[in-house]
Amino acid sequence: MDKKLKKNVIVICIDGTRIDRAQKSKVILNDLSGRIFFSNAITYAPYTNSSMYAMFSGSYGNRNGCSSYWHSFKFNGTRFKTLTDYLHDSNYFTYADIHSKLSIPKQGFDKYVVYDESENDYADRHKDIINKMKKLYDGGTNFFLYLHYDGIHKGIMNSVLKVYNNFSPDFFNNRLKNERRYDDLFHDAENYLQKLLDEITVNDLWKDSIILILSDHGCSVGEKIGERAYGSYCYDYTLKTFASFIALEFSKQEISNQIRHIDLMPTILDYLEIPLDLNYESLDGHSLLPLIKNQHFEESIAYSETANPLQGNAPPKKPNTKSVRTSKWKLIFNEHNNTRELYNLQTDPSEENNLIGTGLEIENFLFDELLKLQQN
Amino acid sequence: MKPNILFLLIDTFRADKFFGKEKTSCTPNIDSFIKNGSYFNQAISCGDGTILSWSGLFTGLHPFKTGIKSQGYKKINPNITSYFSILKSQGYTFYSYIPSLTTSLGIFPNWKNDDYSFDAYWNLSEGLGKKITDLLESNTMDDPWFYYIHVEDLHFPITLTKEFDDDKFGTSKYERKISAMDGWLGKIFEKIDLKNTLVIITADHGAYIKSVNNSNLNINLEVNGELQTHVRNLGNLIPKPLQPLKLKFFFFLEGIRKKRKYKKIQDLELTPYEKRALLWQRSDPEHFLYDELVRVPLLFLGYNVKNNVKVSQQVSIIDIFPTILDIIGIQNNDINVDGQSLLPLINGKQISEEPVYMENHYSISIKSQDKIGVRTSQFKFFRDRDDPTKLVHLYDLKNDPFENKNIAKTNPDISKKMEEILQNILKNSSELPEDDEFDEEETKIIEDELKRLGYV
Repeated sequence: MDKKLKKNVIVICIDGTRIDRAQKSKVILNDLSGRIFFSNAITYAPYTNSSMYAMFSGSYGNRNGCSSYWHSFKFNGTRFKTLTDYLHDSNYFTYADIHSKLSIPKQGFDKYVVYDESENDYADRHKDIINKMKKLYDGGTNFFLYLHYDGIHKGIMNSVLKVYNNFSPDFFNNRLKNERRYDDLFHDAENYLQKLLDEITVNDLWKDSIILILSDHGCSVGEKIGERAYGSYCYDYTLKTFASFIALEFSKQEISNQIRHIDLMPTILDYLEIPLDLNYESLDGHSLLPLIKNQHFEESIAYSETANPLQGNAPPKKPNTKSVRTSKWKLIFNEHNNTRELYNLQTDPSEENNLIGTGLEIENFLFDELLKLQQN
Repeated sequence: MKPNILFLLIDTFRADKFFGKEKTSCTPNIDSFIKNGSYFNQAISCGDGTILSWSGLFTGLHPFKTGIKSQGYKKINPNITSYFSILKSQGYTFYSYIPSLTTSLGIFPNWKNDDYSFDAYWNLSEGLGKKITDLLESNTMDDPWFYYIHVEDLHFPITLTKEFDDDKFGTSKYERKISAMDGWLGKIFEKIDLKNTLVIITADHGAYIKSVNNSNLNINLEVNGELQTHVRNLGNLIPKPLQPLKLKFFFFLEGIRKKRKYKKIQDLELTPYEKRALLWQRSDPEHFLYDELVRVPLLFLGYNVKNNVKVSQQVSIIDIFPTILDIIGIQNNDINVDGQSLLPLINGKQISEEPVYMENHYSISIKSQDKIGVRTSQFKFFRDRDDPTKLVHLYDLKNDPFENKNIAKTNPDISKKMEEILQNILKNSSELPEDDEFDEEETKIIEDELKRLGYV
């Protein structure tokens, strides 16, 4: 290779991974050098498309335009430059292999492939793409590869979404069954991920690449009646996920500070020393490199929102359930019925003891922050 | 037959330089228009930037309700009925000369003349004036017409021909340019039959004038417009990937300029009003809503308008189109707007004076410190856009018209009352329309995809 290349970027999204499973997974919490595991990564939206549009743009959906599934075509790509755009402008070949054309912004991709819903062998498919990218890199071209694993989603779709509604007693009275079902699906996801990590090793891409493994949102196993999977509420079992950032020169560590999915894009740009384009909107996210390097880092409030279908068959067009979260507190605003919830996440991680109206000062502070972020 | 309408918006024209004792330009034509029309000398814009002002002006709504947020400049909410569509339904045909940045905003109608769009900063004397009068003379305009003319002569950077660069035309370059424009305004009016044409002259916002001239002091820090124009043209040749560098260089230069200016004025005795004008720079992150930025001329004349009327009651530019409809006799009960017709004031009757909501236009290149506020004829109040307790400004306009002394801290009760007025406007003004329109085809695609994914 004659010209000086940057590191390649590989992003692998394991759709619907619960944080409790990720934290116990030897495949995700692997022994790879330079693996930074963020165990408290908060998504903007507890469902795929708005979560990933926010991740790709480093900006919340209420600013970038994609604040619900219905707003997939409202993403303001002329004002918000995506990670793909940045890498494309830096001469990366950009490739996405995904399960739905709504899941991530298409702009900036040289190749944007939506695989068939009958696809079952994700590992072979994605290993093959990694091989192709390796050849491209050997030929002197950097690549950005985005791979989306939707095995968990597909399993949930077939065995939960098509079988139960958000209030089915059969679902909520069978927590153990739900847990087992989810564990089986997660086990398959782990197998898939292990095969991909092995393939990256075989292709000797670790030293030349940064790899981000993340989940777009979590998934219910029956915690709260009214949500059989995800996308209805703003509780931690769907909002709190993980992100694993692997770059060889880092010291392997687990970081439990609260971070946000919108911080991942500026982190990658910062790592690659790609400056932000001032012709576009500023980002909501901040680089996590100072946190990774043990430098001063201030936790930011994480804003999330979703469109709860309530008793309906489809999610409404606008978000009606919103939350702000610090590492200690969460305030949820159920706009559809004008109620609020407040939880102390440190003493009540399952969010069962609503402290709203108990005179805590944090309540007004968080609600003001929510209003500000909502009008962002 | 409805009358024709000529709407002349002179970008960046301050009210105090259009009419009154602060004016030093030589404007026989403007003076004559004022005599022959109804002039509002306390008309307040809803924003300090063009796009915000347009959004309020052409909808009669406060700008925060129009969909064109200052941040991001989204298109206007398609569910809002703009006054153009009302005029269209009454048979009006639209003509215009307007800067080219307008097309993506979704505010304006289809202009019938193909050559309507011009590059920003094209002056009347550089050919724009002739284009405007040629169209009026052409006899090709379909009656009734609505002719929107947007003049950028006073917009930064101001260029001036030698002929007008003289004390007799004004004490600042800004005012000399007004004198230069005046001749062209006269020529435009020569082509108009005021018996069947309603004319409106106003501005979108004002400006700081970087010049102080009084019995004690004469200092001028206005930039060389010709040089700035060349620099801007050269800057436009820089390829997009290098734009961030260009911006960095711009801010570097601005830093140097600011230091130079500080040095020049540090030993002078200046009022806050004078100081902020001399020191203002485009790169300043903190934005304000002083009267020099939001008080604009407003003149109605011609069809159905009384002459030699001066109205000192405070009004807003969002009142302009409700007034136009009233003057030309269009009943408009279909849309709920925040503005009100000023025709009773023109006819010597009374209407209640409403507080005027204002907001700052934001900077694209830097994180700016923007404000929102409210003005009554007694007080001006503005504060941080997001935090009611931050950067609070309160001025007593009756006793301190140049807004030299911020009395917010010494008058917390008045600040509180003004904040309540502001909150009332934010919460209780006309109903907020849905801000999204979903394309049927796109909705179908999403619906199918949601079904496929098991969500519907």
